[in-house]
Amino acid sequence: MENAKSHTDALSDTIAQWSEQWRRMADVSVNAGETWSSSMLPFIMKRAAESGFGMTAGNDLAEAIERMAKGPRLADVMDFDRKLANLTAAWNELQGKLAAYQMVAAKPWMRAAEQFGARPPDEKVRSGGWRAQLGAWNELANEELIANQRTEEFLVVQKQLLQAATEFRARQSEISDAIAAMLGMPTQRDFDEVTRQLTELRREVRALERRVEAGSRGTT
Amino acid sequence: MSSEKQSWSATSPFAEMTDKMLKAGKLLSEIKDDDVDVGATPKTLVMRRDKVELFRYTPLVEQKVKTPVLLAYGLIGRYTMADLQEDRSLVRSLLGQGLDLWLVDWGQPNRTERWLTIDDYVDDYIHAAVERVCRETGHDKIMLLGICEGGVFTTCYAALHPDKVKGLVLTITPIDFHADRDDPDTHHGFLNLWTRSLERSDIDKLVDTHGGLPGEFMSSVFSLMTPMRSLTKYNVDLIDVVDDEAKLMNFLRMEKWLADRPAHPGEAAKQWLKDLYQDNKLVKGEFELNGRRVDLSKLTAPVLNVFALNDHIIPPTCSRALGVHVGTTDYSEIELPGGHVGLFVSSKSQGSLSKGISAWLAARD
Repeated sequence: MENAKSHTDALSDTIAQWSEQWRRMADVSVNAGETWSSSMLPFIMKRAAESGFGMTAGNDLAEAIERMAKGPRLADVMDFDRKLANLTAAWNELQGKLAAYQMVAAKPWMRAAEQFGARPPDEKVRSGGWRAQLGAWNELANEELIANQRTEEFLVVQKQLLQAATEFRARQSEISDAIAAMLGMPTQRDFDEVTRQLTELRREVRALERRVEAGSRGTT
Repeated sequence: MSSEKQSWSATSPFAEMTDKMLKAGKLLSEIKDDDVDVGATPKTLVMRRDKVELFRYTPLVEQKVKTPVLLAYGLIGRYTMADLQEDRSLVRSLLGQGLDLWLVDWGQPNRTERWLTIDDYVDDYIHAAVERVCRETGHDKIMLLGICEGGVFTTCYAALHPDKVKGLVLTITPIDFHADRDDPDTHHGFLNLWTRSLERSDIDKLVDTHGGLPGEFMSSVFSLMTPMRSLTKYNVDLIDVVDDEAKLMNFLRMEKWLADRPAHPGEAAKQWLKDLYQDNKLVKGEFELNGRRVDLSKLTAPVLNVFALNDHIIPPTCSRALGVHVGTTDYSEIELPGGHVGLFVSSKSQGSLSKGISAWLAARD
C-alpha cells in the first residue's frame, strides 16, 4: 500500500514537472517572436548550427568549406524567416499609420466641400464658367489643406507615418543585406563602412596637405 | 433650339479640354530631353574635387566688376534654378552686367557622400574653390553669392575665413530658423514647423536608413506646402500652357529642375535639420564646424541680404534676422516680391534681382 502510494506520488510529481515544462514552453511560444528577436537566441542558434549542434566533431574545416559552398543552413533560414516576419509586421504597421494619416488628411477636404456648398452663389464665379468655379474651389481647398497641415493632429500622424515608413525600409534593408551576405556579396553596411573610411581618409590626407602647404609657405 | 444650344455650351469646355489634352500628349511626345536645356549658359570646368566641380562662366560682355564672384547653391535641389533658361537666368543677367562669375556645383551626391558634413562643404570644398579662384585671378579675396542652403554655407565660410571674403551676397537664406514664428502668413514656414515636429531620432533613422536625405522625399515635403498647385499642375496648369510653346518649354524646364533633386548627404542633412532647423544654433552662436564656432559677428565683410516677401519655404523673417547679428556696418537688404523659386525664374523679378546684386557688387569692387 505504502509502495503503491509512493509510486503514485512519484507519478504525480513527474506529471507535475511535465505540466510545468509544457506551461513554460507555452509561455515561451506565446512570446516567441519577441524572445527570438530581442534575445541572443538567433546568435546562439547560428553558432550552434555552425558546430553541428554539438553532434559532430573533428571535421570542422571540411564542414566550414562545405557550408561556404552550399550557402544558407537551417539557422540562417530561421533567421531569414524572422527578418521576413519583421518586414511583414513593419508593413502592417505602415498600413495602419497610412490609414490614420489619410483619415486626418481627408478632413480638410470635407470641410472645404461643406463650405463650398454652403457659400452663397457668386455671380462673378458663376459667369466665369467651370474654370472660375474650379479656381474658387482650389483657393478654398488650399486654405483648408494648409491650415490642416499646421495642426498638431496632422503633424503627429505624419510623423508616425514617417517613422513606420522608415522602419519598413530598414526591415527591407535587413532582408537585402541577409541575401547579399548569403550570396557572398557586400552588404549595404559594408558599403557604408567603406565610404566612411574613405571620407575619413580623405579628410586626413587633405588636412595633411594643408599643413604641408602652410609649412612650405612659412619657410619660403 | 434652346436645348440644342444648352447642350453645346455644356459640352464645349469638355471638347476643348479633350482637344488640348490630345495636343499636349502629341507635343510632349515630340519634345526630346535635350530640347529642355537647363543650366545651359556656357562655362568651363576649372577644378574637380570628388564630385564637386568648380566652373568659370564664359563672359558675355566686357568685365566691369573685377572681383570674382563665386556662386554656391545648396544641397537641396541644384544650381540650375539660377540658370533655368536664357531669358530667366540670374547667371546670364549677372554675366550681362560684366561680372566674373564662378560656380561651385555639388554634383549628384548619393549614398557615397553619406558621411560628408557641412564642415566638409564649408571648410574643404568652398575653401578649395575660393583658393582656386584666387589663384586663377590673382585676387586675395573674392565675393560670395549664396543661394538658400548655399547661403548658409557661404555665411559660415565668411565668418570663419574673413580674410578670403571681400563681400557676401545672400539670397533666400535662412539664418534664424525659428523666426517663422514671427511671420504671420500661415502659408509660410511649414518646413520649419514640420522639422520641429520630428524627434531627433526620426531624423537620424531616416538618414541612416536611406544613407542620406532622399531628394524625392524632400520634393514631397515641398509639394505639401502648395497642395492644390501640386494637384493641378499636371492637368489644368499643363493644359493652360499647351497652346503656347514658350510657356510649355518654361513649364518643362521647371519640371526638369524640380526632378533633378539629388539626395542630401547624410551627416550634413542631420546638421541641417537638427543643429539648424531644430536647435537654431546659428543665431545662438552655437553652430560649430571642425571644432570652430561660427560667430556671425565675425561677418566683417559687406553683406547684401536678398529675400522674397512671399517665400513659403524660407520665410522672409528667417532671412531678415541676419541684420542684427552681423559684425559689419555695411549691411543692406533687398526685399523683392515673389516666392522662393519665383525670385529666380519669374519674368517680373529678372531685372530687379540681378541689377540689385550687380550694383551692390560694383560699388564694393
